[in-house]
Amino acid sequence: MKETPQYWLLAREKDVLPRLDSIRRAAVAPERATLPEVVVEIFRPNLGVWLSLALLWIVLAAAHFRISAETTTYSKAAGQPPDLALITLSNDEKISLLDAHY
Amino acid sequence: MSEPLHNLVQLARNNHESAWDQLFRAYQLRIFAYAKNLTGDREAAFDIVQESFIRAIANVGDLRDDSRFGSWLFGIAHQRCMLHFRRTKREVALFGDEDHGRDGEADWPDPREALLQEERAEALYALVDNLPLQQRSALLLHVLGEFSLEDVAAIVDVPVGTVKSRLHHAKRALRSLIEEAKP
Repeated sequence: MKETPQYWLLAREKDVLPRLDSIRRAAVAPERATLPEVVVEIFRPNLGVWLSLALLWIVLAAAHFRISAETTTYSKAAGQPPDLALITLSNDEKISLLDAHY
Repeated sequence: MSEPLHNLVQLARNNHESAWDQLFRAYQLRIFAYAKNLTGDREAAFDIVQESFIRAIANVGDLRDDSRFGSWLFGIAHQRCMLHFRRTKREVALFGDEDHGRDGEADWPDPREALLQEERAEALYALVDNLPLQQRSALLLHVLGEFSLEDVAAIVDVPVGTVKSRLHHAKRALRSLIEEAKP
């Protein structure tokens, strides 16, 4: 190649070619991120916040199930027949129940 | 490039990765050299090359004339260089007064001839590095990109007369520096 100013200016940059090749390849065909990588990228920047929210959610869910369980126990203890049982009785069974009552 | 520029740009417009690869391969070193010589920052030059490539792919629809792909790509790189200066708040210090002097071209010394006579690469680097930013930009585009005055004007978004003025001052400064460097 003829030693022009352009040649000299480029000659001192020859050592950067591997890195430029890498940059070029990444720009032309960027790697498609997999689903786990996407998930990690979403959560990693604010991991503390996400963990706190997860902990709060677990506490709320536990409290919800505990209250729900206590309500069911109270209903059974009060001896109230479940409404669903009455609805599913046949007419004959309802009449026999009334006869027994009166 | 194994294919004509026009064909490659057409393929690139259709997201042909191989076409982009060939186009960028042809310009990557010159764009890096331009950015590095302009900014004086090697790492910033890598970033500018990367940003220029990504923006070129994203905005190839803005390219109206396929034959001007090179100057269009250098224009993107030049804009990234200017953004770099704005980010680093160096432009005030680096931008000297400009646009004074004549616009005539008739009796210009050819910088390539002058520099070829010097035959010392290190001296050339030092000379170029010592030029004011905008003169350096014009000279690098002229020498590295081998662009016409009109192309350089389009790349840096100034009138052709301004480019002539900057090149004139750059050449005069180089000639002066070469004279000083002579034993």
